[in-house]
This record gives sequence, structure tokens and C-alpha cells, in this order.
Amino acid sequence: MEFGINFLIPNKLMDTVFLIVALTTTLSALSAILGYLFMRQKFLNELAKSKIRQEELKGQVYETAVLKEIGERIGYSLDAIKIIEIISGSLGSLMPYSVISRMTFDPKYEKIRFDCNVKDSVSLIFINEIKQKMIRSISEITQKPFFDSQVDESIYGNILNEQSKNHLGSFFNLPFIINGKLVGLINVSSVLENLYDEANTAVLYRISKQASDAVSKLQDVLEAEKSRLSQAVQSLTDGLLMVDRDYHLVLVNKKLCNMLSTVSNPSLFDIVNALSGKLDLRSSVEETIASENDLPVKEIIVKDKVLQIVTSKVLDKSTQKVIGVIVLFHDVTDAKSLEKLRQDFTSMMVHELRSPLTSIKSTADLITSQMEKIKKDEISQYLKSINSTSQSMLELVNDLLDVAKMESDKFDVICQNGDFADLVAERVEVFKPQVSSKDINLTINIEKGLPKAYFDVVRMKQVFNNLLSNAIKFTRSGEIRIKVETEQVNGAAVDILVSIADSGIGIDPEEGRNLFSRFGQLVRGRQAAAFKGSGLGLYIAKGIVEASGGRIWFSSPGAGMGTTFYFTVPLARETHEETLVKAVQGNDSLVQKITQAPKQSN
Amino acid sequence: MENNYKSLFSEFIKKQMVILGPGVALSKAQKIRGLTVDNQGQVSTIISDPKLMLKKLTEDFMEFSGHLARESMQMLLSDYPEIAKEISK
Repeated sequence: MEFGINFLIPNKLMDTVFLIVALTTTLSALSAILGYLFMRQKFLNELAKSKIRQEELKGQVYETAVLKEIGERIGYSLDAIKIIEIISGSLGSLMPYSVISRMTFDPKYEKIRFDCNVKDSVSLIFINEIKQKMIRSISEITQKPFFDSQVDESIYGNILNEQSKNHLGSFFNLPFIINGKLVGLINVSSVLENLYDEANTAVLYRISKQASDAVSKLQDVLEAEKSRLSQAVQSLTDGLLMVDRDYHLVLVNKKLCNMLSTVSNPSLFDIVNALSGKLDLRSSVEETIASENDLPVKEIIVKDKVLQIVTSKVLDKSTQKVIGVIVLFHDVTDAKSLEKLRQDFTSMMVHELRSPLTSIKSTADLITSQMEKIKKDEISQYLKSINSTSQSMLELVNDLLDVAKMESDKFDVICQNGDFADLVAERVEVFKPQVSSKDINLTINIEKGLPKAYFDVVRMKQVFNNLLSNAIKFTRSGEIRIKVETEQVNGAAVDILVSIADSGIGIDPEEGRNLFSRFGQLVRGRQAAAFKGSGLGLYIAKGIVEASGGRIWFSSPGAGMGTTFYFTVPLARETHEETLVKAVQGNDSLVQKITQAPKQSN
Repeated sequence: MENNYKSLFSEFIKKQMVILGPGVALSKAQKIRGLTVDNQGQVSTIISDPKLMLKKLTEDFMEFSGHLARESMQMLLSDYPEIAKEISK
């Protein structure tokens, strides 16, 4: 029956059914295979991505660890060679290698240090190949040829195997550069070929770059600080040097070079040589280091200069250990001279006051004891002598009082309009007897129609007296020329200019520097045989002239060639203001002219 | 001009091969799109704008050798004044 039914179904239909079933089965199988392949590929992709992520993670962990180690071990010491050591020492955990080498520069001896850490037992030929590659790299970077003879090598780690036939399979170099300067080179080498590429070494170059950037920045900061410090040291008015514990010169400033007359960039030997016989620098440094307290200040004389030597320890901030010694050279020549002048001045004042006092006392004693025996006209003579001597003393005391007032800013001048020509004429008359007692020709030239001036009559007499008496005092024979005229700028009167020129002993430039100072006339005064008085005259004259709004100065071609003193007196108030305004309108530089006297030191 | 660029790039890559090592320098150079570099560091084709490629080449190597790459390129450019003139425009 079944057969009969099957027989009844047409063959064509059966074929179609079979075909459909076969196709369905094949498609299902194909889709299953494709699905499997797709899933497999997806899995493989994920696996590859995961591997990459793992590698990246490993690189990041390594990078962080190495940078952390560099940070911890180096701190702020800026030791680039130590950084190179750390990086080269850490490479073993990152990649396969046979030998890790590093070349570092020894700046002191211009040598290259080659350290070679052998992991796989390789031959010396292999090591030499590395060395040559590194020397080539360094020469290329620095654009300077380097040779084997400049390399000091140190090979450690595994024992070298001279039987090894391995040659350099692959390598890479890691330059370490600080502020554009190569400080070292790391080389990683393997006997295997094609081991290192951009991908597996990138992390090292990143680390190297970061570390080098950090050190470069720190070095910049340090250099900026050093530069500031150096400028401060160079601008010191004292000489200064510093040596380290090993007695190496760390710094020396220009001032010290000038003081000791050494070359501009001296060695320690130059300095020791310049101080020879005056200061044992090495002993001073050693004593300072050994001593708990500061050493007493020493005083030496070098090249006619009196120098005080102060030594001081330099301590490390963190350890408080002595790292060097600073030696300060303080020039006290001027202070010493001033001190001597002070002492001379005091002695002179005591003498100047005691002599007349003794004379007065002796005369008074004579009169008292011999009153009945002395004739009336003799008593009159004695009293005149007492009067004259006490007048000299009074003038001396007045000078001292004037100086005291000037130094405490309590010196006043009471100015009013007046005829300065009259003052000059009157004073000249007073001095004529003194002039005629010497072989001096006195000429006076007062400008006709001299405008009135604004001055303190008493004080200006004091100034004129001082300058004229000095001219007479310091001129044995010859001439004295007095000139009084209007000083003009661009045709406008600005003040009255008085000049007193003599043909006397003159002033040499060295002496002239301090002529208007408090003790400036001491030396000059000693040269005048007839010198009497405080020697404060020019100092007081300067104070009076300046307090009156004028200027005072002098010119002298040199010792033995005469001197001319000048001073100015402001024009009478109304006249002065009118002409000043007129002149300023004509020329701006006038204000400068009025306010600036020619340079004279005090 | 293109040959000049090829020659310049080749010299640059060869210098980097000496400084950094051949494996690293070559893989770095061969990874740059627009350049065809053989295993001796010789550049055979430049597909993109050579001016841009010069910039890219220098910058990519600066990741590894910092200012050395820039200095190296500047030094080489003194031998290629036409290129130096062109890139300065």
C-alpha cells in the first residue's frame, strides 16, 4: 500500500522536496560555520585587543615605576648620570636583551665612561660592536669625533665567552639630553635579530624625555638662581671667594681680582700667590672649618690697601655639615685714613686750643703776680695780647660750632638783597696789609653795573675771607686775581660768579678729591708754614655757599701751578626770578646749570 | 625637487638609524603614511605633500630623540637650500 502511495507521488515533486530539504540543511550548516567563524574572529580580535591593552598597561606600570624611582632616588640633585643608571638598571623587567650598556661623560677629564652589564654570555667582539655603535651615535649627536682611546670601560655581569659566535643581532640607543647637551647614552643589545622596534621601545623614549625635561627645567631654575647669586656676588663692594672642603675654588668675584691685581678669572694659585707673605689662605680655611666659633677678623696690607679678612663656614642646609668656606676681603683703607685724620684733627684742635690758653694763663699769672712792678703801658700790651689770643680761640671755637651746626642740619643763613661788589671791596681793603707784606700782586676786577645779589653778609664775608686768606697763605710770591662778574647763560644773567685765582702751591688731584671735606685741609694746611686755625674753612665755606643757593668749586692745573676757587651768589630776589624765568624760556638746560655745580667730592 | 626631498628624507632617516639604532628608526620611518622607506632607510616614494611630510617626519622623530631630530633636520637643510627656501615661505 505504502509502495502504492509512493508510487502515486510524481518523481518531479519528489526531486523538488529533496532539493528543498538539502538546501535548507546546507544553508543551516553554512550559517552555523559562518557564525562559528565570525565568533572565532571576534574572540581573536578581543584577545588581540586585550593583549595590546595588557602591553600598554605593562608599559604604563613600568613607566610610572621608573619615573617614581627616578623621583625618589634623584630628588633635586639633578644627577643626570644617576638617572641613566636607574633607567638602564630597570630595563630587564621590560624587554629581552643580551647586554645593556651606558656611556656617560666625565666633564672633568673629557673622558667617556662605558659600563657594560652582560646578561647572556657573549664574546668581547660582541661588546666591541656595541661600543663602536655607541661611539658612532655619540659622534653623530655631538657632531664631534670620538675615539676608543677616550673610553674607559667597565664590563660586569655574566662571564664573557670567547667561543661565542654570536654577533650583534639587534640594538637600540637611548640618548639622554639635558638642556640640549648630551650627558649619556643607553644601549640595549641582543644576539637575536629584529628584536627592537618603535612600538616596544616607545615607553623608554617617553621616560627618557620626561626625565630629561624635568632635569632641564630644574637646571634652568638652578641656573637662574645661580646667575642671580653670581650677579649679587659680583656687585659686592667687598672682595669675596669661596672654596669647598677639598680646597677647590668655587667662586671669586671681580672686586677681589681688582684688590689683588690678579687676572679676571684667577685660579686658586693666582690668589694664593697674590696673598703670599700676607695671608696663609689654606691655614685660614682649615682653621675656619675646624673652629666652632667665628675666627677673629684679620687685617692685612696688600698693594697699599688695608684689608680686613673675615672667614665664614658654609653649611649644607639639610645636613648642617661644612661644605665650604667663604673668605671676605673688606677694604678699610679709607676708614683707616679717616680714622687717622680724625685723630690728627683732635690732636691739632687740642694743640690749637691749649697753646693760646697757656699763653693767656701765663700772661694773666704774670700780671697778677707782678701787678705792682709792671708799668701801665706794659699791662696794656699784655691785655692786647690776651685779647688777640682769645679772639683766635673764639674763631676756632666758632668754626667748630659751625661744623657741628652743619652736621646736625641746624646751620642757617639769613640772606637779603645787597651789593656784593661792596663786600668784596671792603674785604680786599682789610687784607691789603697782609698782601703787601708778601711779594704778591693783587688785582681786582669787578664787573661794571654788577646786579645786586641775595646773600648773608656776615657769612659771605666769612667765605670770602677764607678763600682770600688761603690764597695769600699758599702763595709765597706771585699774584692773586679777584674777579666778580655776572654769570650768564644764553645771554641771561643767572647769578654772580666770584673767582679768586692765585699762583701759589696749587693742588694735586689726589688732594683735591677731599678738599671740601671736613678734614680735607689737614694735609694741605700742614704744607703752609704759617698755617693756623681749624682747617675747617673750606668745609664751612662750602656749607655757607650751598645754604645760600650757590655753588663752590676749584680748578688747579696741579701742584705748584696755582689754584682758582670759584663760588656763585644768587642774584637779588626780584632780579633773580625775572632773569630765571626769561632764561628758562630761552633754554631748558639752564635749570640744570643752576642746580648742578661742577662735580667735587665732599 | 621631489628627488631632493627623497634624498633629504633618506639622509635624515639614516642619521636617525645611527643615533637610535636601525630597528627603532626604520620602524618609526616606515610607519609614516605617505612615505615608502626601504630597509636601508632609503626613501623611494613620497605620496603626500613633501613639505608636510618633512614636518611630520621631524615631529615623529622628535618623540624619540627630542631636539636632536630638529637639529639634525636643520643641519641637513643647509645642504638643500631650495627646500629650506620653500619651507620658509
